[in-house]
Amino acid sequence: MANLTCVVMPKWGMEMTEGELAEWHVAVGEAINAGSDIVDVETAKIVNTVTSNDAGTVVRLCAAVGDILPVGGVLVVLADGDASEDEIDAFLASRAGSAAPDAAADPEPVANTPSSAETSAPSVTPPAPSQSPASSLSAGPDDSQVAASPVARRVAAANDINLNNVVGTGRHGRISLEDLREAAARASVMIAMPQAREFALASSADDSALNATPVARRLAASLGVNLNDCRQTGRHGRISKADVEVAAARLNLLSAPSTGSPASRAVGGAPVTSQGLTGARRAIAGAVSKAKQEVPHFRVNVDVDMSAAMSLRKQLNNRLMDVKISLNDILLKACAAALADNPRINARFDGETLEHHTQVNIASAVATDNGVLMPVLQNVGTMGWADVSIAMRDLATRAKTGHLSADEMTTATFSVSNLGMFGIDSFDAIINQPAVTILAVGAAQERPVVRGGQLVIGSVMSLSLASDHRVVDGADAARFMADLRALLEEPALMLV
Amino acid sequence: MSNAGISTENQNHPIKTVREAINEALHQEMERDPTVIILGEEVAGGAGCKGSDEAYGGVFGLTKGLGPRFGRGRVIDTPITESAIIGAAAGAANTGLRPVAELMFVDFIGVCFDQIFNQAAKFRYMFGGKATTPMVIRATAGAGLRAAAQHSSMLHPVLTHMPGLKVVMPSNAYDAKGLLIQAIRDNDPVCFLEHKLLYETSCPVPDELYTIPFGEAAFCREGSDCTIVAMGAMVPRAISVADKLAAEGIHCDVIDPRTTSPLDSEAILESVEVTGRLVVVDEANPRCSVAADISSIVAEHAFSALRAPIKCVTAPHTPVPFAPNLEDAYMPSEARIEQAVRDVLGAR
Repeated sequence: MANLTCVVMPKWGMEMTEGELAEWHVAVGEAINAGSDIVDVETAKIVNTVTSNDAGTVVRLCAAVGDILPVGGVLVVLADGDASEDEIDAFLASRAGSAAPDAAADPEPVANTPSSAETSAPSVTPPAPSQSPASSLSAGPDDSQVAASPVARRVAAANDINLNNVVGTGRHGRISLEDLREAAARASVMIAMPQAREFALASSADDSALNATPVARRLAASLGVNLNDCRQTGRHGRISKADVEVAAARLNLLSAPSTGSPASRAVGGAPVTSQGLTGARRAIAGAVSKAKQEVPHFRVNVDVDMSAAMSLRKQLNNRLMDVKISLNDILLKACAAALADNPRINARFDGETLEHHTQVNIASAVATDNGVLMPVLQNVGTMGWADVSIAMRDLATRAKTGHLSADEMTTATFSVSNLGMFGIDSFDAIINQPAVTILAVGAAQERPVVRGGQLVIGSVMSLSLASDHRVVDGADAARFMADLRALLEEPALMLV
Repeated sequence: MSNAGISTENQNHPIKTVREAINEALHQEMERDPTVIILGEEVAGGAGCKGSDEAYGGVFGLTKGLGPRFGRGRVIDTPITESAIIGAAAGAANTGLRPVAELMFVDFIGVCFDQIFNQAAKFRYMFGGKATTPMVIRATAGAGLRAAAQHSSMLHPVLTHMPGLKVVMPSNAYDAKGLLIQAIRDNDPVCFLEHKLLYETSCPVPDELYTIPFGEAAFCREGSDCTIVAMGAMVPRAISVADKLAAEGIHCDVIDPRTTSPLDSEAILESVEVTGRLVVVDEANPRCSVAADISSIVAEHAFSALRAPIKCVTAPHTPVPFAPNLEDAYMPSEARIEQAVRDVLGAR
């Protein structure tokens, strides 16, 4: 009978929980020494080679290239001689059985450690330390006869916890909710409590006999409030006008939060109006919250000398009769040109799939009465400067009057937010998902600049690019911003 | 009134009324244990009365058949003197018997209050644990039978207040049998309150002996929207309301504490932790009551879980009226319970 050992997935650093097999350096039947390379493993941070601590003959590879194994998972089985398949199976099974208790962080309240499930499949999947933590409390024999309070039983069932794994210290030794919480905490298992729901019940019962002031009754009838839903705080326990108003506010607020009309009250003598969010505002709130919480933003800033761009603009506007080209139009064209050379910036990312686009569709932030909108100018790269100016004016007008099509709202591959008209120096913008970057544009202002060793007055504009670091790296953003700066400082480059 | 919805451990057992279940428990415990005796007014048919012994067995017939079966030595008709009944029972219990004393109506407890709370309830404590008083005081309780103020009270709050007493309030036949057997076997004085409206309700009850431990609440219905705690005759009403609301998609925990002393406050607190809403239904008067007690326990220990003010549905602070319409209005009705649940759900 051969003496069997194994090589397991190592733990390289605190954060490593698993590794992906990249390339085998051994094959079954190969004799290896201690220190021999076994397999290349790729983790979230590095690629490294696993070496063997023991010498022996490789008798089984327990995973294939591309498999992801948890730390401690068996990579290969080594033997000091010939080993039968049954022997190897038994070896792996015994490891699975002995490894599982280690997985339960604190086995004290755990009466039955899970082992049967893992040992029945010994061939490939190794023991799963720290995998699916709920399993450390969910295994065990039928628990229907274990004494537990009804609520504890209900919560345990909802969280797949076997009551045999919980020590009861409640009344008559039964398992209380507290016991369940404690056992879960020790096993590092999160338990979800059933959530009570919110109700906004409007009574339909007859309220004609209720004692209410005539004014309150009239108001209730006009508002459609059933007097059964009102408190009775008036004189002699009657329902007062204020009681009806409170009930009306409560019922309306709970049943239709988005359409509540503004309510006025006074705080410290100053009037305050409160109102539920409109649908449009709610959409903006949702989008920016999601982006700010989900996207790891980083910013790259650059100051651009706009003197050349401004004199070019002046030159053009002196000659063109029908259009007035703005700095923003020139900026959009410069962005399109820079994006053509930086495909990683001209992209969309939904959290799963990254799309690099060849067509440049730029969303511009437009302030409207209902909140900021991001209408999209399509295919900016192929447009002439005058066309950009005309199209952008049209887009902004339609955004303000609510006449945008869905396509004009959703196809952005890049975004620009320009607060230059307010004289803002510079600011940070939140990414307009699924685009992966947004350019925050400040005002072009006269500032001292050094040109050819001389201090002169230049027209400087601060640009800040916010990028989604999941798919855009600092160098990508920096390269784009350098290109953009070059194009704006020497606009003639846009011609080539 | 049907109790078909009340949970029991096995639905295949024969259907029995609360009256039959209590009578059966007494028969079986007297059979099993020769120290069990019965004392009370007319419990054996009225000593010296003409007619068959079988004809009577207490004013509600709970002890019917015990006299002929076990003899006048163990089923003792007493004078109409409650102080004597309870005093004799307490003394007999100290000497090693297990008396089951019957008070015809719990309203009469006043005349034997010294025997109950200053004697029986304190013997164990006064004698340093050397004396036990394994007695049961059975008494009918509750309104609804047009019996007027002096024969309709719910006095469990008064008894629950007293340390040394255990207070049992079965709400169905299954619990009545199991709790009464537990009461007889218990070594402390137990007050066993039988609601008159429940005597004819029925549910499956096993023929064999079984006990239900004190201090373990029953969950008659389960749901996570609201907790309803109800006692005695209020339990079937609470269940009926819960079933009606369940049809609307509102699901309530209906908790029957079964014993108010000891009280399974843990079960109530756990339930409120989930639901955040509590309605306590109790037929007793509202001041210093078990409803007030439960409400205070939850306010004290689960305040942060509450999503709405606690509602107590109780009788008003008056004696039980004789006029039928007033008596009906006096008792917590299903409509009032339902309104209370809707109130805490909407939290107006």
